[in-house]
Amino acid sequence: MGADIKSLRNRIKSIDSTLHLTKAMGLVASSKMKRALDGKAKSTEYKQSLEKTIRVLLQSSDCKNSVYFQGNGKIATALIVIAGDRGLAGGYNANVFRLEKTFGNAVRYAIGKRACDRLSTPYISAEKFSYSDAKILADKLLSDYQSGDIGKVAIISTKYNSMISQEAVLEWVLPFDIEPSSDGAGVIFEPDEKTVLDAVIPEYLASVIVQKVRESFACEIVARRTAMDSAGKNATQMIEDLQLEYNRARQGAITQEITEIVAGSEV
Amino acid sequence: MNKFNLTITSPDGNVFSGEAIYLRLRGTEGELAVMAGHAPFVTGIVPCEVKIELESGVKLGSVDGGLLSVAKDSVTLASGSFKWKK
Repeated sequence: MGADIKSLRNRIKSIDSTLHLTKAMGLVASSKMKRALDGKAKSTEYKQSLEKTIRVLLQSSDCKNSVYFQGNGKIATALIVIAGDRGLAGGYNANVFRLEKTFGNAVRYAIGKRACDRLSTPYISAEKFSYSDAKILADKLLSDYQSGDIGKVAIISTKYNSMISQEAVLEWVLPFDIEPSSDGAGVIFEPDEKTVLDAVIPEYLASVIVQKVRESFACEIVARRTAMDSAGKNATQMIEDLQLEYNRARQGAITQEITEIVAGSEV
Repeated sequence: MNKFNLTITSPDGNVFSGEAIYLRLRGTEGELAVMAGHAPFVTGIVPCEVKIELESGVKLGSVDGGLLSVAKDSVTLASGSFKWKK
């Protein structure tokens, strides 16, 4: 009975420290959440503003027939995999990797420590991912695309649906699939549409990558908060159950001791 | 001095938003300057120094590339690589 009490006490202690950990991680995630969602919104806005210009540019047939929209006829693919820097975020990383596994042959570029570890590529943080990191990657992809080393670029990232729903998605980015718009007719492009398009494309691809990374990071934080919340609830429940068991065992031991003392004094 | 609204946007939000008197940078066609009342146009930017004249003085920055759109009375410089010079 004594050993039972001791092991119960140890289990309660260990679950209690897990509870502290989940609480702390949940709080950290909560405090980062606003910034992460803000970053997601800002990068989306930036991407959309560039996209708007490209839509207008696409009214010109020169741009429409450019290699960026029609493809270069090659089938080699580059795949950007965006996962988190840390675990303990529910199924966040696992969902991304499950999708990545179904993808066939491709040159893989990883963003986020977990993805870098898995694909054995140099470490790039998802949280501290900057625009210049994106630009370097975009320039590399575009030069490979122009030289014909790759013909397609896809991104696996996590899409933010709501606070409780995020899903891993695969999106093809190059060749771009953008519909021309009929607005903005009469805008003058200096010197011509094609030159402006060539200047905008690297900026746009970088903004797409940044937007995906920011969105995935927001998903990671939200997923971690939800996961830590429910882990905390489970831990509290377990502690309650074990505490009850512990009290019962303790009371049982006391009762037994009393019975033994009483039995001894009667002799 | 006539002023125009200048916005410098980046993926991490607006770097600058306010009234400016004069903006100078290098487009794909060469160096250009914008003042209030400029004809609307859109052009690409090449790596260069950016000079912005505000009411409070002149500020300098640099870009690695991007897009400049001049509308009727507002100018937007979209570049993720814009940095103020110290």
